[in-house]
Amino acid sequence: MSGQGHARPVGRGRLMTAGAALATLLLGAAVALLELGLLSSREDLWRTRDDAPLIAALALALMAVPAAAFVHQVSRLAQATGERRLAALRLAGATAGQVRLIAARESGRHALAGALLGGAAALAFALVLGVSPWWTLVAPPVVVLGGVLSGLMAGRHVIASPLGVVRRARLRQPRALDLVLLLLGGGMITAGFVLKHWFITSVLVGVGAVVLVFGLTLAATWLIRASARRAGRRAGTAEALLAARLVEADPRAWARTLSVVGLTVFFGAGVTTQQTIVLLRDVSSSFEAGYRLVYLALLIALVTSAGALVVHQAEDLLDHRRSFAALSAAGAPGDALGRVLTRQALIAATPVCAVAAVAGVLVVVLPLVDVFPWTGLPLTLGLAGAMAGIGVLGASLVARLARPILARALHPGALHR
Amino acid sequence: MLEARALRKSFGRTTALEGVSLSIGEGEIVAITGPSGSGKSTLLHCLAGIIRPEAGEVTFGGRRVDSLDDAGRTRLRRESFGIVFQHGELVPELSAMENVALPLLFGGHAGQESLRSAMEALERLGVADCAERLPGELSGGQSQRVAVARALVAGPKVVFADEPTGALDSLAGELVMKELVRTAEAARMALVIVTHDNRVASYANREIVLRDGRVAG
Repeated sequence: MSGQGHARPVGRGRLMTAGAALATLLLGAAVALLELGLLSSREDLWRTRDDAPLIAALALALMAVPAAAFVHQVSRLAQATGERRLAALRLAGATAGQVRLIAARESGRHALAGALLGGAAALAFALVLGVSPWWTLVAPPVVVLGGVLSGLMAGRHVIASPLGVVRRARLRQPRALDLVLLLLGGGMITAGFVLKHWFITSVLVGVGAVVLVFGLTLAATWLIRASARRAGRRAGTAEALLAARLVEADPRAWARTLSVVGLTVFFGAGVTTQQTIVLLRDVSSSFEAGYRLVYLALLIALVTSAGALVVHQAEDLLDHRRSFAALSAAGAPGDALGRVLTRQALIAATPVCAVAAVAGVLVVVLPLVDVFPWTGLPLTLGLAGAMAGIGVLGASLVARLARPILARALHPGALHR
Repeated sequence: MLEARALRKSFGRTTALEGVSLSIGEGEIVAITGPSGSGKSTLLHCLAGIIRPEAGEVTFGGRRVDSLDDAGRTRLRRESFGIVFQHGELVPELSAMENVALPLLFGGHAGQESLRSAMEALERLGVADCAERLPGELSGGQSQRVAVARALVAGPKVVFADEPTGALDSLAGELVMKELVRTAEAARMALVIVTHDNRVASYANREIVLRDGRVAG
């Protein structure tokens, strides 16, 4: 970020490259682990419970989502902050489509650099595991394609004309259809665990998890809007009112960013629940290595999600810099405006993390309801609550990290741009 | 009441203000005019305590404004000054009434009391029927009158208006100016208007002309 609240192109490029590298590494490592898991378990998957590599593969594949979300978030910010350059290109005769293609090519270039770095690391990981490294090469092209698509999609939010650039104001509100994917994904995962056939289960859980990720994003829009409306009705201070109304006006943007936090909490709650069951039932297993990998993946996901949240906050402040600068000039204390950011994060993150934690527990407990050790329920719920707490705490800490960006947005100069 | 002495302010190598001195009395309406880049907005920002001058001093009611820390100047702006911007700068996600209530809420007033005062301010400005609407649903003139209501709601002693009609057509601009001047006169507030529009300047009791950062007349 420069002194005027705009991200520098070099910094944005590096962020995108780093995000793409991480996404490629996670995806490539997931493919390698999946290969290892399929080689080692096959038909014995449910009998011997030697499915640690599969659990870790699923976790890593899902954790590639936060990294991808991070890349997309940076891509959106890059386009929003490159306003003058986009306008200059239009003035020089470029069509709107050409401007979008230029943006897509730029994000594709950064994604390619990151994919090569991450791909090399994934290749090394596969060699260390002793599996064929060729399947990991699937990851780099997927990430590069994602980078190009992200550049094209991010361009939809910025309308560049020769006279200047405006950010697209159309905000999408939730629809009833948004809940279908959530139910479908949850149903597929549950069915997969109930059927207990190695191939069908792998397909159902894998596809179900992807559907669930999208469903979680869409359903989170509903949750966040409801939470914001409730907070708005109860608001007694300026910062509470501002935070609630800002979140209520654009719940989709918060849902997009927080769904990866929700996913981390969902997976964390699910895994801790499963681990609790294994411990209480005293089942000997080779799960430990898998758990360690899963927790590592969750930690990486949480940190990556935090990065995506910071970038989201920066984009949000970019949208509201004039309003915030005007409020500051009119006497709104900087501290109070900083608290608006924290409250926004709390309003949006609390319901998403709470529901994700409960869903994570249910996905594991429901298929095992006949053998679940009910004496362990308080411990299970406590751990799920802790996972939700980590998610909410992470989101509010990120909001505090974004305060320096706010301080720059409050500069009186923002009123003249 | 509000006084500036030998103000100097520069941005990089560009000198925005050089040796500017002026005095504004209670209930006085002053227009600061001059060509683009003459330092009008910078002077308004210095007078309102939004930015600090590099040299010189600003006093309000005998108190130095420029030597106050950031929190002190913020409190002063909230309690004693009202500011109207060229484009209104309302928060798009808040209703007109909530926008007007914001300065009171930031000042620690209770929610219901703030909303009631905001409604009264909107009534005074003739836009009470817009209270529940979002800024995006208002015309330019309505939006600017809501912005004026926000600047006046806390009962300031000085109202600063930076090109208050710059984004409006002449009819809407005239309406906004009439309401602004009428309300300021009724409450004996000083009004400092930055403008390059002679019609707007004609509402003032006195005109200060800036050129290249200096008072030219």
